[in-house]
Amino acid sequence: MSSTNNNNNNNKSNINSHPVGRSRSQLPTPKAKKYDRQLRLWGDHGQQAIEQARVLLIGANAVGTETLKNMEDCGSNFFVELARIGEPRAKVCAELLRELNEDVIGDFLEDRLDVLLQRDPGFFTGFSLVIASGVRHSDLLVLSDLLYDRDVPLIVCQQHGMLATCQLVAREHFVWEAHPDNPLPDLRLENPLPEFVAFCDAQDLSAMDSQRHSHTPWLVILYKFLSKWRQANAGKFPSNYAERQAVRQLIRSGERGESDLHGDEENWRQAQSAVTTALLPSKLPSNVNELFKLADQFWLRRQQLSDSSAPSEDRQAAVPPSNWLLLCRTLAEFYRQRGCLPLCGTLPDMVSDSDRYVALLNIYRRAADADLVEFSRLLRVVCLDIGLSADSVPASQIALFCKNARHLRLVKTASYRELSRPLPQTVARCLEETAEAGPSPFWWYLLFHACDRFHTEFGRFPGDTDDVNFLADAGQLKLKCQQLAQDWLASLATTSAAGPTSAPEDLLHELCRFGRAEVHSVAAWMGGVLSQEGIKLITGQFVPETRTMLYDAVSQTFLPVF
Amino acid sequence: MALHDVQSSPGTDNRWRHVRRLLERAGPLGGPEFEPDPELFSAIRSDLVQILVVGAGGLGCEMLKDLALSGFVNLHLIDMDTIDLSNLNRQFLFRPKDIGRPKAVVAAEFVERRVSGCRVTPHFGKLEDKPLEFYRQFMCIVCGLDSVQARRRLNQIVCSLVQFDESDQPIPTSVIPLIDGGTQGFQGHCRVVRAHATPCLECTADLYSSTQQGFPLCTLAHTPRLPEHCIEFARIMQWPQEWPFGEEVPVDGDDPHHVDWIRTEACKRARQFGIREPDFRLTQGVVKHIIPAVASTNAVISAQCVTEVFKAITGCYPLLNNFANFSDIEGVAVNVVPLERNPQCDVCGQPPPKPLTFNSRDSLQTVINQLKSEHGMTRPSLTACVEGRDVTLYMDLSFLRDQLADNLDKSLAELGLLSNTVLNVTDSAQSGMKPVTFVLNLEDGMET
Repeated sequence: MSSTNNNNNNNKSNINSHPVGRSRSQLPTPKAKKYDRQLRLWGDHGQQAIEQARVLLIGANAVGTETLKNMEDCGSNFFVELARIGEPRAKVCAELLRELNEDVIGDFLEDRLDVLLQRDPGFFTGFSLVIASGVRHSDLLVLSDLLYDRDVPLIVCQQHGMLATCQLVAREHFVWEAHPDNPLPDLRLENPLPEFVAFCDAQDLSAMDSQRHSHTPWLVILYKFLSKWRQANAGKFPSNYAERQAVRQLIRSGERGESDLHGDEENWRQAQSAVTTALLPSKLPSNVNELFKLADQFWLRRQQLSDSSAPSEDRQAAVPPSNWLLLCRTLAEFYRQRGCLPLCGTLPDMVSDSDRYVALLNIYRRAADADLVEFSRLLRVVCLDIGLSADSVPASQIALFCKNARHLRLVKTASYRELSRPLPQTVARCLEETAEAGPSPFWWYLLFHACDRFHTEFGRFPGDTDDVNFLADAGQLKLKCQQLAQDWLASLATTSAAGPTSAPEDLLHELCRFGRAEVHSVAAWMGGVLSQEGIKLITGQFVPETRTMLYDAVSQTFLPVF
Repeated sequence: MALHDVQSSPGTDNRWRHVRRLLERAGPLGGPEFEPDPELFSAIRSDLVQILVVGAGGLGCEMLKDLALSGFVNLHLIDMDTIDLSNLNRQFLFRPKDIGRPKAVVAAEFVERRVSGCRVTPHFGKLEDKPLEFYRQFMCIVCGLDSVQARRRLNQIVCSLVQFDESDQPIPTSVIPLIDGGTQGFQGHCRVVRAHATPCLECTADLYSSTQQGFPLCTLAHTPRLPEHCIEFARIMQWPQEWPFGEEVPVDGDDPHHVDWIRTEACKRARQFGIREPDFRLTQGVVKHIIPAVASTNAVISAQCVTEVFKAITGCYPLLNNFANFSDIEGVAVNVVPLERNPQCDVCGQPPPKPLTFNSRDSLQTVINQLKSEHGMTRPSLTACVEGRDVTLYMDLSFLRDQLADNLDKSLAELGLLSNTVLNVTDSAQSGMKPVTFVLNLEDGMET
């Protein structure tokens, strides 16, 4: 297996080869049939990424096995599950893993995880994704430190009875296809395509018969009246609600108001309601702006390194940037030169006759294709400039990138080390909020950590005993919780300003009641969520959840902890 | 391999200790009347607690498995379909050798094999094939259906099981909690229905939007714009003209040859209009109205529903109140909404008709007297459906009183009223009052 330093590249680079679904006769392959319903959600390239991913699951517990099962159902078949060795799936580092047997559970597993982390850290960094379920805090620190800088995403989760927390830990994760629910169409009415202008100018609304009039696409109608308004307003583009409404009124005045054979003029109504979304001034989305800054910073650093007069051994080995960084750099360049992003090229459906709708589609598609050609040219220059080959990025990936340009984003979290030690100000705020509103996800989260400390000291979880007197553990748990809260608040100047650092009795009691029980349906819920988050990370599609979250199956809520 | 074997080790129920913790230990966040009791666990593990799962599709099978792993041992599963080629993506449950067998039967076998001690009784058939009494035996019903009609039918069944006491309050033991789950791609919902306490599924019928793509025929015929239009034209118009696979042989979306024929015709039409040509996947998606589905959403919604089933049966925690949305397209979002009942609901909005017991020889006046003395009416007016026609029996309004006065002395038999006739009664003294329905119970009379 190729040892690139960047896992993101691994899964995205074979988009071109053997798409899952196609065959000469166009009839679906058995695999395409099998995964038909989910292929419609993430496409052949997404499915391929899932099947090629190598996932490590640490945690032979309910949440872990449920997550595994769901990902298998989606076609992920390259798993190593640290607790179930000896199964056919354990394809990697078999020698090391054969030492562990199926009896590995609970404490014993965690000891061995410890050992493994020491003895063979390289084992862990070879995966596309690591899921750690029910792993103790001290091991997570080591694990995360290992994975974070090597950009192997980690999903961490814990379950206590009816509650479960989860957290994604990833230094950098690039979202190629966010698939927003209701994206604005990319129409460029502010600076219309020349071919589009010519097409519209050739249409004479007043000379049309009722059939043509009622089947004129709203985009043409909107453009015509927009132009009229602009002419009457010194060429400016509508910049506020009132001005957009004025355009709408103009359109309304153009309606014929007669119903013909084919019903009333729905296209004219569409034109009026499109005013709200089609006439918004275009501006660079902040997520894209962030990417520009990142790319520029990266290039600046490279420049500084190569200009540096330090001896070559001290110079950081030039790390080739990942494809997304190359593409973002190119996008920034494109934007600088053209003042806009590459055109998306698609149009929403609208009432129209066939020839005009198709003509419009073709106009936009041709313009998008031209932008893509220009973009690809710029990319080649960027690559060569940096010493990479001109075709470092596959054509299909470039096309995908441009098509989704407006929605691209980089998702990132702090390391587990930082995330699990919240800032004192954050802690103080959460404690204060709780004091007013009652128990919150933050308290549960604090208690989960306190349980971990309890476990470290006593070798079991509070309440995890057959003893009828399970509540006896509450006292110690309360102490641990207080210590932890004070720890977290330690650097705050005035610790007294914070709310109570004493966990509400109710919550202590409930946790002891659970005794770390793995309620199946709660584990299954979390397993469902985590498997999808894992797929997001593997495919680079859809936006992952980056906050620390708590699932409460009692209130059926899923809320951020901080 | 998806479902890990849960073997029972001799002499211990250690695998269920998680469940026992919830049932045998008290906790401050539990249900308001919850009393921990070892008997609860025994009850769950006994035949006494019967649960019905409706639907053996992706969601239903997941629910079955979750219920079994939550400790329930007496499960029933009803589904009207047999397994075909297109279901084999749920490989962990259905294998090629199962093609043609009822889904409910195969799913039941699978779960029984994997979770020892759990009994699953499959029912191959439609909801309406079962008598009402069949449903009465269940302590909870959970459904993972993909059709609005089936949901509404199930809802009617569950609501009609409810019995009322003298003060028109639903008798708690007759109210079977209905947990309804649904998924579509990365979104889903879970809701809890307790008839007459929460909205029933009919109260909010408009929530379930249809995913049918209805294109106007004139668009298909004259002004297609999209590949989908070309596909639908081939399916709706060309197919019944050419009968490519035999006279009157309908389109079978699961037959790839049928789909490919449609695709070929659609491509011809697309080329004619300059439209992008559809591929096989798009064609089949349109022909079959395929809703994209993924294992993770089914897992989430199923689990949420089963948590509610567990709560409903044990009372260990309060139930979801009462509708939860789920979406994990962007981040992960869960949103709980307490939906309200619809007082005009056709299914649960009307109070049940109250019985009025008389003799067929009794006069209408007798009925009116009883309405006044025992049902709090002052000036009742009555209409009834007699021989298929709505008849006004009496109206206590000044300008009509005399016209219908003759009816007062007539016997119920003379007026053509039989047992089970429904009377609609309003009280002129209470303006804006909704009609109250009564049903006649004639001790000696004939029935409608």
